[in-house]
Amino acid sequence: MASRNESGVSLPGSSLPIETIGKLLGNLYIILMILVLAIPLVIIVAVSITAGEFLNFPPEGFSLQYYTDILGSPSWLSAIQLSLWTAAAASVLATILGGALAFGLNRYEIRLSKPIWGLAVLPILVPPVIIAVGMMSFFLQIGIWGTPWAIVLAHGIIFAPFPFIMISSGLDEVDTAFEEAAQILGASKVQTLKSITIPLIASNVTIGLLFVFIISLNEYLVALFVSGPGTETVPILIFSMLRYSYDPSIAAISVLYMVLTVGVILIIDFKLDGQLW
Amino acid sequence: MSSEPHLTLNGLSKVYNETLRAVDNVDLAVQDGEFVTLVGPSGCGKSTTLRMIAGFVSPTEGTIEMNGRNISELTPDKRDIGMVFQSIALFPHMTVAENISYGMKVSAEDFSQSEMDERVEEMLELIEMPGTEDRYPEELSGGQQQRIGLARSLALQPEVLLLDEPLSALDEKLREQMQTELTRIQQELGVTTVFVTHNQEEAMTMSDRIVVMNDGNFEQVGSPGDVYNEPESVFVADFMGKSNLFPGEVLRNDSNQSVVETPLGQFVTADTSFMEGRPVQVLVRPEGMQVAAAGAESENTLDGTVEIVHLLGSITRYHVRTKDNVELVVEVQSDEVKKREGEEITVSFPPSACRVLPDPQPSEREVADQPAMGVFASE
Amino acid sequence: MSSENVGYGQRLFDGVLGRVKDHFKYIVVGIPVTMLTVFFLLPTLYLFATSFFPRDIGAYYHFGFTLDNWARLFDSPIYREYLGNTLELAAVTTVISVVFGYPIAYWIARVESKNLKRALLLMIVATMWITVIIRAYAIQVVLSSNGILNEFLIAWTPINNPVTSGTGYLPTIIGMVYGFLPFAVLTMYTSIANINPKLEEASRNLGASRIQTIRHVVLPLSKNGIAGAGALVFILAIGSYVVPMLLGNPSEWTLPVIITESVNQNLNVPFGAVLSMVLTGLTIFFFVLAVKMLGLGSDQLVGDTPEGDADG
Repeated sequence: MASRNESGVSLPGSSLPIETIGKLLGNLYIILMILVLAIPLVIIVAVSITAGEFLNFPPEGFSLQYYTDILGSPSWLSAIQLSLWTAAAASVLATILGGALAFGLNRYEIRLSKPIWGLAVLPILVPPVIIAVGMMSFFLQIGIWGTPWAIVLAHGIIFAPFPFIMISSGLDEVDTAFEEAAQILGASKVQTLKSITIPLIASNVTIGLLFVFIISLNEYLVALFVSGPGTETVPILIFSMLRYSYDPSIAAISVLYMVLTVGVILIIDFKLDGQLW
Repeated sequence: MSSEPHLTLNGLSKVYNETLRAVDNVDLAVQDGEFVTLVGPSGCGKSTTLRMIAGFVSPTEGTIEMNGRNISELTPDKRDIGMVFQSIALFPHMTVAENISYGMKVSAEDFSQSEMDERVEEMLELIEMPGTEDRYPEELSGGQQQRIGLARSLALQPEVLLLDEPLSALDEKLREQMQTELTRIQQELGVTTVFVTHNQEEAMTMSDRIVVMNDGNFEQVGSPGDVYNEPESVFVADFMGKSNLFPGEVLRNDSNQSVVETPLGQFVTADTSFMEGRPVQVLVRPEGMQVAAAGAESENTLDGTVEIVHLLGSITRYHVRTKDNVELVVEVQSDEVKKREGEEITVSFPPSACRVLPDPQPSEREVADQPAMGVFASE
Repeated sequence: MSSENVGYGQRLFDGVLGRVKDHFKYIVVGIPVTMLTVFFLLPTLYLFATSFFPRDIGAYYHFGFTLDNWARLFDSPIYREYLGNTLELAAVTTVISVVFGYPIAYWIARVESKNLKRALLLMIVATMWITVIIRAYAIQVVLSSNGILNEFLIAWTPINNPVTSGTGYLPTIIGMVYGFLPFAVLTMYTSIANINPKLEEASRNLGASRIQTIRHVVLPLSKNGIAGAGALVFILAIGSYVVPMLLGNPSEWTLPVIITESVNQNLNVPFGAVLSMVLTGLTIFFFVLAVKMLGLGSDQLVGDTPEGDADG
């Protein structure tokens, strides 16, 4: 018995049993991989709602105690607050820097545009540990080491490539004809920017912003190196607690963080409207 | 109508990298209300010229004047010019009404909302698309977008209207419709218009005057009739319409006719513009060709075989290949002649149908040899 | 309308404004470039420079020139070991990620339901962004000696002792793969998705089974994606810090971990700088290698710069 392809045409040379087994195995593999990828996360969720002090299998009970612990703990709360506002500030800084560069390179003839482009994407290529150590030394020298602004500055600079790339591609898509049409209709350069260019790249700008927000929120190494005692972001706090125990409140904060991350990703995906795939 | 030209180009040039002369020292005076078309092959400089008038490209040499004032230094937003772009470029994030009224919105003059609405309505009436105020460009067809683009460019009643190959993306039927529309609107408003296209038929149909461009130069400027019937160069003859061109040398030049020696024989022409010994090309338009009875004894005859027959309604076009392997294009009234593919045919043309043009590259051609390369019946 | 009546002051103002406008582009580009250079490029270069500075006791070093720090690198064999570990770990991670990831990428690319495809890809992207710390934590919870896996095994199977522990080679590899598999999948997915499905249909029509089709049609056409995924994972892996640090014993520690140790624990910044240069050198080396292998022209990387329009 031959199997059929999509149009229903019978395919020679393929016998049904092996095909089906192959397909079954393939599907099985995928499901297995998805489970493997998902299970640790599921476990964290499970740990976070355990009633006991530790994770046992089977779990001891169900409780939200660790969530309330976090919300009641000043160190967690200040870490959450710090993470949120530094991420927000860094995303604005990165978008301004990346956006300005994207705009400048795209709309003007600049002599050194190739090296500048290289500089704009360089931070992605350098291993984070090197950036972390380098910035730490430098910030120490200029005296801003240890302050929350150090994190904002560091993240704003090293994540600027993301809005840069997003806005660059957005500008590429905005045909210069639109701007010329606006100009010949009497709009000055500023008016054109405001009424034509920026609205057309608005979604790229937003996505760049959200991107950096999430990455900054989750970033550990650079934040660790440029911040000092007292300025701890959530990843830093998690890390330092992990070295001593498997306290389930770590799981609780992780779940909160995951929900936030996934939420932002969903927003980005919604905005892109499946375009990326 | 005043006799002062509305728009003039004076010695206008655009040079890139010190060597590439995209536009080479051109002059033009456009009268008020005139429809002038710049036509030529890709890369001839027509778009660059247009964009210099608009202000998007700054001239290397020369000036542009409107109403006697030099506008060459003005930025595009200050020139009081309307423009329709090849890609139309309707603002996708604005409605039709917002697109059309955009010029008024950004204008230094303060227009009230009702004034803008009124103008939008007027414009939509003009292009015969009333009621589309709240639609978005993506909801419109290509032809509709084209018309909105036109309405947008005219909303501020500009001094001059520029159109950069606006119809090239449209299919043929739509294209013809739009050509008629454009002509109608232009005449109704009487707006001075400069139109750019690579399609010579389009240029012939719509223009008061045509500028044939080649390689940055204005090869010839004249009415469609002038340019077609009295081309001044082989390039213009070849580009505008179909032509039969026979390279040769002037053998004899009497007072009312000249004889040109060509590889295909001696042709007698009524055009005595060139002296003996000059290398020339004889131009005969397809409609100047006639089908003679076989063996007829008239001047300027060529024998050949019919290769292709195109029935174009009242006219039939024959592609004929002579015994020397030269292609001819012949157009005759359909009811007068009926030949079929493969049939023998004798073609002739009267001296009056000939026009003699200077040969641009005589050194490349050996008059005695290579007849097949020497004659081109262009499409 | 003549401009002769415009006042001198007005003209001066217009002149200054004009100069600013003309040079607007330099401001727009100049400020970000300056900031990037000052806060990123310079510190990194300065770090490299400190590798030549003599080290003092404590956290100090002073300006000077010495090759002692570099000598130390070559003298102790232990650093060669660490380098070897780093490369080996990265290589194993890469191979596993690519091999396990390819079927996933293929499957998702050939899924018919658009929504399912989007959901799967979203899931993969989501795991990527969840902070590496949380992921490492999750793995520890599962694999540690009193963690879930062992509890489960002890309780439900004849095994009586913990089989895995929370740190070690296995957890490290698992952690790395877990972190970088999504990168591999996404890269290869893009490549496979670009292959016209009709090619596979044609192959099937000619009698090939699905496996044969994959082997002879899909695989060769997606080799750019595979190479790209491999390069990406490898480069990310040699720079990874958290997983080897948290889940690895010192024998699994990578260069980044040593660098951090050197700087934070030993307070030896110059030596950390030496190691940093080695790491950067490796990264650049493999990056250039990947680019050459994939035949990417600099145009594709850098993009076009605006040029004058010379068309007529």
